[in-house]
Amino acid sequence: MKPALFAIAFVLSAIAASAQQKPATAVTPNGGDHLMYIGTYAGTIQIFDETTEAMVGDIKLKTGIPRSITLSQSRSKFYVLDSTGEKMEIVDIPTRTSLDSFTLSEGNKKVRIRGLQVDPLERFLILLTRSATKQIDRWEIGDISMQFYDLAQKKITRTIPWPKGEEREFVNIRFSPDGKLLYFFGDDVLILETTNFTEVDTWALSRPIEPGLGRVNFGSVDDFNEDPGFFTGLFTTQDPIQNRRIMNLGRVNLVAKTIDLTPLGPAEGVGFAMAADRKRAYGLMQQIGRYEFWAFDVAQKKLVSRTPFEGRPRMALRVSSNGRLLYVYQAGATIDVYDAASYKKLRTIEMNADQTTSLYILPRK
Amino acid sequence: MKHLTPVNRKAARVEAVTKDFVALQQPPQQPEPPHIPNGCSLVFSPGWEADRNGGTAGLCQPVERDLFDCHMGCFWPAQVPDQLNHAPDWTAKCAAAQKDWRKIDLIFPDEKKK
Repeated sequence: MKPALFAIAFVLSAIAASAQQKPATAVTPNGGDHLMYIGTYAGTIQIFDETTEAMVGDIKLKTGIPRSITLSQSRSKFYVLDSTGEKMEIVDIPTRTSLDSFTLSEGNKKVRIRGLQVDPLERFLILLTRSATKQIDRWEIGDISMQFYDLAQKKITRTIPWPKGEEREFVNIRFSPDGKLLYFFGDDVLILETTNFTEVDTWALSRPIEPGLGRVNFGSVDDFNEDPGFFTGLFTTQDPIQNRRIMNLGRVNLVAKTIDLTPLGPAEGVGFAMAADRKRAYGLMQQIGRYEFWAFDVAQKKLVSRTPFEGRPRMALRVSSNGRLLYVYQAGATIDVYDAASYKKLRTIEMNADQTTSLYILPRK
Repeated sequence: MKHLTPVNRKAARVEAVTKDFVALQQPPQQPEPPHIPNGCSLVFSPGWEADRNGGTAGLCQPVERDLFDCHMGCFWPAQVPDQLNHAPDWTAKCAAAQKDWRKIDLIFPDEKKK
C-alpha cells in the first residue's frame, strides 16, 4: 500500500474506532430514562436505554431462547420460560444475573409448562403443566394440572385440585397483593386462599353488573402501570336482547370485587396499553391492511381519537416511561417508535436478534 | 338498564322477561371461523401458512420477520426445521432472520436416524 493510501486508511480506521467507542447520545424526543428489556432468539434478554435507544447490555440465559417473561411484583426478578416450555429460569434484574433454573422433566417424561403465575411474595409459583411420557411404542399424554412449585424447597410440593373439578387448558389466575388470595377466572371468579387452596369466596362475574348490560368478558388489559390488585383494560359486554357487543373501558379492583365500567362503543379487537400516569391509554387495532392507534382518556373514561397509520401484521404496543412515545414491537428485530401526540413514526430501533417475548420498561436500579 | 323505565306494555314485558339475566348470559357469540389449520402447514406440499381469517394477507411481512416463530412456536412440521424435535439450534448462528438470512443453516434429514 502506498504511504498516502496507508495514511488515509489509518485515519478512517481511527475515526471508525472512535465512533464505536463514543457513547450513544440522547435522541429527541426520547421516551424517558428507563431501560427496556426484551427476550430474543439469541437466548438473551436484551436491554436498551430509552434515552439513547441504544443497546446497553444483555442477560445471557442458561436455558436458551426465552418464550415468555413474567415480572415479579417486586419488579426485581424475571421468571423466564424457555422456548421448549420445559425449563424455567429466574433472573435478577439489578445485577443482570441468572439466579436459578429448573426443569420438571426427567428421564423419559417431559413436563411442559403452559402457564405460570408468581406469588406476589415470591414464595411459590403456580405452574400449569402437562406431561408427555415416552413409552416403547407411543407417547402417553398426561392430564393437565396446576402445580405448586415451592421456591424455597425448589420442588413441586403439591398439585392444586381444579376448582369445581373442571380441568382447563388455559387459566387466568391472579393474586391479591398480599398473596393470601388467588383469583381463578372462569365463568365466575373463584377466590381461593393460598394455604390449602380451598374456595373462600366467589365473584359472580357472570351476573351483569347492571340489568340489561350483559356479562363482562375480558379483552386486552394492562396492569403494568397499575397498583397491585388493580387492572385496567377493555372489556366486552353483549346485551341479551339485541346481542350487541359493546366495548367498555374498565378498571377492576380484585380485593373489593368491583369493576368500574364505562361503555365506549361497538366492540372491536383492540390491544390496550396504559401510560404510567394512568391518565392516558392507547389502543392498537390490527385488521388486514387497516391499522389504527386509539387514544383513551382514562380519567374521563373516553375514547379520544382513532388515527390510521402504516402498520404491519403482528404488532404489540407499549407506552414509553414518560408517555411521550409509543413503541410498536413484536415479530422481527425492530421496535418502531411513534410520537404519542401526533402518531408520526419517528424512527426504528434496530436489534441484532428477533424478539420472542413481551417488552418491559423498568426504572434503572 | 336502571335509568330506563318501561313506558308501554311491550317494554314492560321485555323488562319482565329479562329479569333472569343469569339464564340469558352467554359469552359473546362469534361467527364461525373458517376451518383452516391456523399457523404453519400440516402438509409439505404445497404447504401453507394461513392467518386467522384463512387467508395470507394477515401474515407477517416480510416472511423473514416471522420465520423463527414457525420454527419455534409451531410444534408440527412446517416448511422450516422444527425446533422441538429436529433442529433445536437452527437459529444459533442467525438470531435475526431478516438481517442475517444467509447465515441460516441448511438442515438435511439425519441419515443415521433412517
